Amino acid sequence: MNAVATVSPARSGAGSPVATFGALLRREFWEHRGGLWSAQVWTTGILLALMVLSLLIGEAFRLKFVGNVDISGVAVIGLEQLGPAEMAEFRKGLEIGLWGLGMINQIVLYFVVLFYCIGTLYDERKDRSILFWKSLPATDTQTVLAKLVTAALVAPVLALVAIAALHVGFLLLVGLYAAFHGVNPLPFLWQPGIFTRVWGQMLATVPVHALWALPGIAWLLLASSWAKRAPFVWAILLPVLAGVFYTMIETALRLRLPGTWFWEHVVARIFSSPGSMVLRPWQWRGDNPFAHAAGQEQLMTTLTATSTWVGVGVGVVLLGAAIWLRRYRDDS
Amino acid sequence: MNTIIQARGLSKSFGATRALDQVSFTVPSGRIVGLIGPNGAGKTTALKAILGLTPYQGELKVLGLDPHTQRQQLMQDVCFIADTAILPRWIRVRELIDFVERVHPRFSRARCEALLAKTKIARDMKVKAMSKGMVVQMHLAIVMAIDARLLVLDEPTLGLDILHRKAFYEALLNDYFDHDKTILVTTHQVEEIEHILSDVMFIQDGRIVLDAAMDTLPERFAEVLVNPDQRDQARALGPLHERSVFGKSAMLFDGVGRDRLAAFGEVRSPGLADLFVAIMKEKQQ
Repeated sequence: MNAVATVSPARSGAGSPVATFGALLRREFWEHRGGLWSAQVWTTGILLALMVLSLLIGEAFRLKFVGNVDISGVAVIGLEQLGPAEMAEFRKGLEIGLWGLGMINQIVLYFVVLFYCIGTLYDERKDRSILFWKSLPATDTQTVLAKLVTAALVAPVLALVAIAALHVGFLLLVGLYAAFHGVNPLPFLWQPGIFTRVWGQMLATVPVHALWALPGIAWLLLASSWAKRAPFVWAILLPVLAGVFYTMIETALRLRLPGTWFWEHVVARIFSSPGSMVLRPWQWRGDNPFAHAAGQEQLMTTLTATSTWVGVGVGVVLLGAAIWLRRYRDDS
Repeated sequence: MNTIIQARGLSKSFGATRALDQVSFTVPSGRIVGLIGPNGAGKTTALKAILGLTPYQGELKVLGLDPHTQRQQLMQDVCFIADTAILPRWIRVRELIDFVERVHPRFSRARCEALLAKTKIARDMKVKAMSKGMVVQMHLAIVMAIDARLLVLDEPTLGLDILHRKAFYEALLNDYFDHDKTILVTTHQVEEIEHILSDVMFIQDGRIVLDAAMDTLPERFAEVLVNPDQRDQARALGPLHERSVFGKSAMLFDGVGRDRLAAFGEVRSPGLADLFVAIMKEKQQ
């Protein structure tokens, strides 16, 4: 017993701000592995399985109604006749397809982050595990910031990894199918430029969206930290009711049709803060609406908009309030 | 001797209820202090104030720090179990150990694993799959692997059977405690911790009604079995408490010399539980 009784000197770095913050991030991932990662993997897996299924069904129909005719000759002739203009069209189509393929993962990401933010600071109080976390030297500021980073950066990046896997899986399936029919898919599907562009664009939106979404995420975290029960009501219903109230007051005072300022800058912003820039329906335009919503133009507009930076300020205040509540409120 | 906790005029109210009413006490280092009181007496409120978990009025210094405003610094040297079974239910044993190891500079993984080796807790187990007793063992293994200067335990053995309770207090005394450490513990099982305490504080209705070193108790308190015919004479000496045992009266005296009591029968030192009951009843009247 004596051997164990001597406390070995602490590992260097343990308890330092970096080590602590890293541990807090890992902690969030462990707790929410199901939503942050497994849900994304499952989405990708199910979508790929559906593609396999549809290819098999298509093949079965072809065999039944067309017969096992060798189509490679036809296909090769058809594909080889593609000129530069057609090839450009094909690339464009592929890019649209890649953006569209990721949408289910994006929607999963949206709901996971929404529920994560609303639950995280509430659940630890409800099951009283907060008293355990508070018995360790991680500060309330570090803890709440780790939750913010998880919601705004970790979750979207993990979703992106799953989307990239989905893209690769999709092209492999299509390629195999083509190869199976004697068509060399490489000239068409080997498009590293498109991949790096789509993935790079998706990745670039993550930090920009995080800035823009800061007040919304911070509001959700504050509601989670504040609510004694039903944090969902505080997080979602309160802004909506405030919007209704605002509209009524404005109508009564000005005797004209109310403006949409509050709805646009408060309610809609809260609702569109989880997830990513792709999920901005009001920016879905053109041939490739999702790419447009997450396009370079949108990045620049967001980064230079006053409302983004005012929002960052508001977000910092709301986050401060959430931290203060976790630190000083005693409701156990 | 260093002062670990110093409270002066510590008060805390919840509405009209005074959970702590002008409480003053000092805890020096190297002591094991039992804070004992009935439910709702203010034990938990006092501990929460000491741990910086609740605001209060009055003056309070823990390791020379203000627990409310300097909590972060304080938690480097203070460890606590605020209540039983508050470990997060989703976490796995190895995740828990990894986390504490990264966050706490005074945590020893080797020590924690040695403590866990004596239990049936497996590394892959989730807290929610553990029995109540295992959760307590897990929590204690973590806390005892942290080399803290002050350890605060609020009902640490609730939910453990008697074998595990005994083993826990034995380990606490033999493997954990040394003269640089201080332990503040509350429990309902007074008899079980009696022999490990160095000091005891009784708290009732937000006030400290007894604050004494254990080794001074026999000088102050004595119990004697009095025959019915001598009852009135003995009562004249002002017993703190009286209860009947087989037709005789067991009377507990505070500050009456043992030589005077010996005239009535055999004098013995009361147990902590008897003393607790006597003082609580006396103050209620």
